[in-house]
Amino acid sequence: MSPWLIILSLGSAAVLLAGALTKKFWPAFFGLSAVATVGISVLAPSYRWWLPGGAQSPMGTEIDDLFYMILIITTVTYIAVHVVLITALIKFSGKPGVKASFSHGSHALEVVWTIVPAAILLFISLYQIDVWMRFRNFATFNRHSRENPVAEVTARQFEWRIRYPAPGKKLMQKPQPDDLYTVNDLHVPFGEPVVIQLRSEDVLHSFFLPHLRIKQDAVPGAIIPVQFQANFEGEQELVCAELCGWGHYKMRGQLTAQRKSEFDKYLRDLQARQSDDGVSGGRAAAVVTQATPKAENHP
Amino acid sequence: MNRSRQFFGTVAVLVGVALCGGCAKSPEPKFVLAKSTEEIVPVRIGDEKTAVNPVEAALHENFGTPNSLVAWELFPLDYGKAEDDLDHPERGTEGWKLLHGRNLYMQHCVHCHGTSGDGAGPTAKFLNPRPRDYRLGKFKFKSTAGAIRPSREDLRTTLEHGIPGTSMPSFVLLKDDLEPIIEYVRFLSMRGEYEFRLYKGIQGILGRKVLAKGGSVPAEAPEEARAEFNDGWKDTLEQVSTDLAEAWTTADAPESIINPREATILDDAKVLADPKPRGSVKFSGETLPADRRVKLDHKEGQYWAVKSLKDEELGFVHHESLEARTGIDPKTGKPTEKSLKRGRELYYSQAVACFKCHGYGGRGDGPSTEDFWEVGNDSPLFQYAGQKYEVRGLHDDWDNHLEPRNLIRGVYRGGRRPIDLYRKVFAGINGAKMPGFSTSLTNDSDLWDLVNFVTTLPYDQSILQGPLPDPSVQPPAAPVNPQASN
Amino acid sequence: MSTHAPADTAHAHDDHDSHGHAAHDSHGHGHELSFFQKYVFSTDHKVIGIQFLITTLLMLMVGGALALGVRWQLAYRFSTMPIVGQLVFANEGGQISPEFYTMLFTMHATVMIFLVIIPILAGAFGNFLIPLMIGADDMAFPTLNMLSYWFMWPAIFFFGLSFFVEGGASSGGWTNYPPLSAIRAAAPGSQDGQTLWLIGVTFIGVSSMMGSVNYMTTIINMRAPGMTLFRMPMTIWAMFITAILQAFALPVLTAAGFMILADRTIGTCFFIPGGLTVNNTPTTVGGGQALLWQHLFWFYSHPAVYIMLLPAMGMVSDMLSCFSRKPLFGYKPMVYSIAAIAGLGFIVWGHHMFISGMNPALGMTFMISTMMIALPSAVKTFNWLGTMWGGNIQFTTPMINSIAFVSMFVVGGLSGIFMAAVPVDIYIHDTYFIVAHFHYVLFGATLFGCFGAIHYWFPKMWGRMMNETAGKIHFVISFIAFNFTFFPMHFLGAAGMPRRLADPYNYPYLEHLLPLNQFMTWSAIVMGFAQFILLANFFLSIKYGKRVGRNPWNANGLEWTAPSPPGHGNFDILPVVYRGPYEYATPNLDVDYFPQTQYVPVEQRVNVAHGH
Repeated sequence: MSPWLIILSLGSAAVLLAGALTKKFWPAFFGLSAVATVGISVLAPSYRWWLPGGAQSPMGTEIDDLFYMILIITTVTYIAVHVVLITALIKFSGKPGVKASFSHGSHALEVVWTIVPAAILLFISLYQIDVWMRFRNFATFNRHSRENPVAEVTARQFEWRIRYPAPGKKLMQKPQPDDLYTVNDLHVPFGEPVVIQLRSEDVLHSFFLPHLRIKQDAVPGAIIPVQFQANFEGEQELVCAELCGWGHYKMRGQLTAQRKSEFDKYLRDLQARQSDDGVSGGRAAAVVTQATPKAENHP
Repeated sequence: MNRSRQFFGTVAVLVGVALCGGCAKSPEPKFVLAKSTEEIVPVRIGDEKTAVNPVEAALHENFGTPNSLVAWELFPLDYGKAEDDLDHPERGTEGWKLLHGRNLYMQHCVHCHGTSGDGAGPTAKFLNPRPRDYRLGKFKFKSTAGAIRPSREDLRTTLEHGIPGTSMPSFVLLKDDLEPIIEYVRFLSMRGEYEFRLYKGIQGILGRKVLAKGGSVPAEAPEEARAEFNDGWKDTLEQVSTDLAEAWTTADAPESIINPREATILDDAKVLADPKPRGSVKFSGETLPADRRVKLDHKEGQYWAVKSLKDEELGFVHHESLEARTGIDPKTGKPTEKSLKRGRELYYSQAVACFKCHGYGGRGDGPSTEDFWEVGNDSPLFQYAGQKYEVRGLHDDWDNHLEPRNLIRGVYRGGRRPIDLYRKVFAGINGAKMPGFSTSLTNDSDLWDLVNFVTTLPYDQSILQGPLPDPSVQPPAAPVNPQASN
Repeated sequence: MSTHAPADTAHAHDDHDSHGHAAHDSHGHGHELSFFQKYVFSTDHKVIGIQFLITTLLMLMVGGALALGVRWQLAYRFSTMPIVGQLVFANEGGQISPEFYTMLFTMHATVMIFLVIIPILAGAFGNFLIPLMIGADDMAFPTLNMLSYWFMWPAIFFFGLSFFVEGGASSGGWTNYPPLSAIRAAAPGSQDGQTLWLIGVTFIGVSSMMGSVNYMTTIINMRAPGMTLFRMPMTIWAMFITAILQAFALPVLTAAGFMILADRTIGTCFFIPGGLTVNNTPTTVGGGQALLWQHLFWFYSHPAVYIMLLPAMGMVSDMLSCFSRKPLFGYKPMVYSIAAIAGLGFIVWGHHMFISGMNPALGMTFMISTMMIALPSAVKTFNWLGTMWGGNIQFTTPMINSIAFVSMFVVGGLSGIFMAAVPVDIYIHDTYFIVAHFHYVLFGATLFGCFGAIHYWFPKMWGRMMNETAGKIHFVISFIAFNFTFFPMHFLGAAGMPRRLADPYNYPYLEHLLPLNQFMTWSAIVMGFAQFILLANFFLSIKYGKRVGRNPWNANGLEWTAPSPPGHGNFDILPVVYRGPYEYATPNLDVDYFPQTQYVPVEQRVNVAHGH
């Protein structure tokens, strides 16, 4: 229990008591609720009731910035509205024999409070468009990563099935005999934009990387390319964010971002493991082909 | 004032009623008894005054309840000895691993596999295929031969990879928590098998009739009959537990694992692939000095030219020795034409007869899926052994309807590595109707040809076409179209 | 209550029409009605309204119980759940199964939306208030009105039944996105439970449609003399526009419902793409489009969000004006705002689908239209503040609930801006941030508005007051518990906790949210039990409440000139309307209210007519 919480609750009790004694209980009550709302929001990050750390992708950082921009605008609005509300409640709480002012409104005020919010809202929406287009518009993706998707991620009840192309090959839409398969553990090289092809085998799922602020529904019948760039080396959560059935909560995955060289090694190890036939510790030919000499060495 | 009192009085009563409803004693999870066990009428064991269900009593004594587990030292079970581990203080108690396993099981597994591992959790009846019932001690996907129990490593593989094409998801991210879960699954499996074996034991002593409700009650039987039962029961208990302990010990023995029969010969390709060979290596039966790295050079008639990297010497290896083993062309990494052809031949042969279940087009719709099959001796419905199921098609040992795998889809439940498929072809699938061919196909290359054929099918269905090898094997009148969508 | 002289006159006037002989008074409806005709299959709009009200209040408790089940699982995942766990899941030690959790939240939303919020607004208050407030003696189509109520019961029956069929109740979330809801094998609840859900919703749809046709006709045709459109109270405007919204949006949902029903039963594939393998059943064939449902569903359900809000806005406007004893600030801008919300409400549905993979250009246009719909909401908020400013505020139970409405609506409205902004929505979509947002709007705003409205119009329904102390205690507990329950959901959302997870702590990055969730659960439990105060207050006041006259609040609306409770045919004499409903605090009257029906001699009119 933080001292702030104790101060907050004691303060609340005091305010309510004072309100009740001065016959201003309801203004005190609503005022307190507004103050408490702002107060707890200020405290929240210290309990980690907040964004799970700073965004770990460039796009995530931009999204965070936009989030904070809206947060500032809305907080100011919230406080302003409540200051007016509470002031009205205090100032105009009912007194016997007093008559309210007789007014049906003000044209000027209506115009002001229509145009100002309209301008702010329009600004917010126009300001967001750029990031949105870069997130979703395929044409804006990095050309190299767009043409060389790292993997195909197929969501199914209740796991992420991942298909990589064999090292040195391109990901084909149809499965290839030498494709590499894993489940729930998506490896990507870090520090560069990567594209995955998102599919679903059964129902709707959603590919959610909370720490990268990336989310995209996996829609059955569609292949959706998703671009992201991991700015970290290590592991982060991969979450399913769209209800996909009884085991929705089981659909936990992991994104592992590695150096390019480690990623390549990971794929090679995967290939060796997957071609294990118990005879040669890796399907003989797959490895041997690399050692095949040129024809001029003929004796 | 009176009015207010009425309001608040009523509210208090309503709230009170609701709270009482909510705070009733919380139920404990319990191990459900098998139907057959429930049939047994109580008997007096030894000098006990009251009659009990002997199987239930033995289960309770040796395995406890989910909230108070009993770990029986007799069984090869790593229930977790108390450790002095400062990093993991929860390991300080005796049996921590089993308890931890139970907690994880109750969180991750119980919905499908049920509290007692009977594959009948609340979600189970909706799943396709049904979740595994551990109580028979049978597991389909494992590396051990025949009816041998799965090794811990096998259970781990299943947990890590999930079972594609079923509702078993991957739990790979549980990492360190997998070990306790594996132990608990083994515990449940042992408990279940113990229960069924005891039933059969008691059946052996008393005969089926006495067991059924309404038969003569041994509790009221004359002294000598009781003494006879008690002796037999004691032997049964001892016999069953020893058998089980042995069975589960065997599971983890290295020799229980199926390896390709020629794997003991050091494989030439392995030498070729090894970038840093240490000491002397054997190559094609010849011992080479360690610094002599070798690689394949080119094919020459029946032979591969092998070149030593050290002094550029050329040697020759018999062509067949590399290819014949796994039917893989070392140059392309793909199965050879010959291997696929042979695989197809076996697929459609009367001796191996894959087509009977997996179908003429490999879609798992062979003629045997149209037959009525009999209840087996080992199924939970063993009381009805010999009678036919009401539903057409194959049934597994858990009495679930069973569909032969559609080989076109490229979904391999037991793993997609060549070795996994080899093991299936070698030993069959325990509990399912898939037989093993280790005795009928004594040559490993035949098994590999089948594996190659099966692994190629999803990508190239043209290999199904051609004249059928055995004239007695004829596809149904309706043509099978291998190009149809899968 | 304020002590204004005419209140006494109202009392005196009132003595001879207590509710005993209300059902057959002097309007020529002389024939006796049987008990069934009078109270069960009644065609009287007031009885139907009260039937709706009581039904929805009971359903509120059902929906609340389901919500507590959800909350319990989130606080004590997979541990013994009281009652349900003990009864149904005894073998597992009382822990519910994950699919039961999905049914809990699906049916919670279904009950709350289709059986509580929509019927309490349109069904209960719409029915009760429309004829009274526009000066009509009943609805235009009384039988249709009766049917509209009784069509709700098959829905309740089917929703209830669905818990007991194989597989259990619908479990695809109230949005029921296919293929999860279209393919039987996809989830336990997608078996017969889903079919029953669709049938139930269809019944609700028919019920709403009958109501909506009725309201439109009544409001257009049956207004009392002098009740011009711009003299109608905000409640009636809101009901009117809501009815229009319903009439245009509902057919789409009903059609979509039949399409998905066809997908499920007769093998069509509107929503099922080919090549899916669901629960390892044979691969689906067909070329349906899963997103089509989302478009159709939200084409109804986004306007439905306003169906669930606008009437409450109207009622709150009336209450705020009455208890500020001051004319409503900006009557016409308020009306235009409602109309604007309704109009824009039809072109914003795509904001539910920002991350569904639809064309990015659509995302942009929907973002702009969604941002713009915040504008009329903001205008309304400012006008409510303007109404209170300079008033003589009386903190009655209806008033404090209305103030709560404004305050909570601001929170819900502002949090909406986050998700209207597409890039931010990428992150917060399908997280608890959304859950916080719509609970602030639907509970914080709408339900508190309804609580206020129940207290406000109760005297008109029964001729008795509800207990003020109990009302205030109920409000204080509900308000605090409500904020404790739902405000932290913003934080959960910000921390990236997705909705609809039976066990969020399966994800290590959410583990630290467990204590917060437990706190929220206990707040929710307190909030749930606090509603017993409302129920007790409501039902006991019917019998024991303080008797009052026609106009206990000294309000202006036409309904307050009718007897309490109004008899069959509502008014003693046909009311004639002389002005708008918000003429409080007129400077040249002794009292601070000025009923719409009160005739003012010509020489006095000059001073007051510049209003409406």
